[in-house]
Amino acid sequence: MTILGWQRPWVRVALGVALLAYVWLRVTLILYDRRVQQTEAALESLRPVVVQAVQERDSVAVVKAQQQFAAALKLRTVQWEGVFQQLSTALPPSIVLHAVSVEAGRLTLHGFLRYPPPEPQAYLARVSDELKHQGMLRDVVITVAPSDPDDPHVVRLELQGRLP
Amino acid sequence: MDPSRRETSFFLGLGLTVAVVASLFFGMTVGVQRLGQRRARWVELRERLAQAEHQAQQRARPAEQTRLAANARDAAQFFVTPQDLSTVQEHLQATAAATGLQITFFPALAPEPPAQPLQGFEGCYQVIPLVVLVEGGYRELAAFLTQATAMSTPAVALRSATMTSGPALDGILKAQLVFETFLWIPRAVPKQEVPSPTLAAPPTSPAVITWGRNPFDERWSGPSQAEGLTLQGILWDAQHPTCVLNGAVYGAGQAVTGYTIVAILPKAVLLRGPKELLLAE
Repeated sequence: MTILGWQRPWVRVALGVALLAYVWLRVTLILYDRRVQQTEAALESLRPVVVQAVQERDSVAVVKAQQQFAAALKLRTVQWEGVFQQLSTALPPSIVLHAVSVEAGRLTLHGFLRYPPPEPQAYLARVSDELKHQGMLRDVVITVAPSDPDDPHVVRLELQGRLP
Repeated sequence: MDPSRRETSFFLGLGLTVAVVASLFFGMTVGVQRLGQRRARWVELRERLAQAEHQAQQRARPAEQTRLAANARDAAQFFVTPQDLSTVQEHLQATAAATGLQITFFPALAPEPPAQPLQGFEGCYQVIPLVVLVEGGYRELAAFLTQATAMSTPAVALRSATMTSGPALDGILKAQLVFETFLWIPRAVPKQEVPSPTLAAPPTSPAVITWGRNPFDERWSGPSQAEGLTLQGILWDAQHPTCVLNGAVYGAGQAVTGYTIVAILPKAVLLRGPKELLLAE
């Protein structure tokens, strides 16, 4: 030890400091271990309450989504009585329907025009304008079939439009 | 001391010193590393604990829990399960009976994904189609559709409809209707914020609309007077029919007060002018 200089003061001081640092390290490690255990225990005790809170929050989110869905569906619902009423007033007596179909927001009317004027397209354009003006249909397209030579008083027509 | 022993002691001492310093260095390094890990773990746990305490504080109170449960029950009533589909059928049956329609149900179909899902609710719900056949008058069918689609416990929507006039051409309709009821997928929520629904633009015409004629009715029927014109009689002749309007006799193609007589039929007269009129005896 004489060679190592144990008798020299700075060697003793260095060893003392190293020992102190080691002790401080161990004690701090033990303290942190305790804190970790305590926090884990606290978390574990809170677990049921947190689970319940999360379930409540999820349930609130689902209920809110369901309410929004109901509101959106209500807005998308067509007022059929209004559509039927408007159809009954907007279509002139010379137009008779054979079939009406509704699919994906589109309304298609199949029927015929009795005693068609010389230019049925212009006449039917007025009818479609009336339907649009009433707010019943958008983007109305009327297709007229060529008149039947056996029955010139009648032309078949198809009217398509998008419900608002 | 013998120089050779002195040299040996020196090297032994040096080796011992190096070993002590190395072990101290190694031990301290590992210790500091562990300390860092413990501290990080503790910080993480503390954050989780704070989060958990925050969540626990947000737990509803008993009164609030009762209200939330009631809300959940109310919201759930909007939707069906395959088991309570019969309730919907009973509602539709009662509505049809109240509006004077005959109704026939097809067997219920299995739940399926919606063909056109409501925007924002993709993957949140399924639909159960319900196919029915109804037969009755034009206005009755309108009333039935309105009342059926106004149902909300559970909700019913019209997916598609095909209405045709009956063989008698008297305005009685046969309609095949495909209704949809909605099945909410358990715990499903929209993936994104749902856009707030926008109201459709109101019609530009006056809100009050009265009923006109049944457009499916092929019979020539209507009032005897309209727009200042009064039909007082028809002198029927298959070749040259004439009619008496406002006290004067007219034939087809003639004009009267802004209207042109388009056709004279055995029981009615069709005129076109600013609008189309059908005057019947």
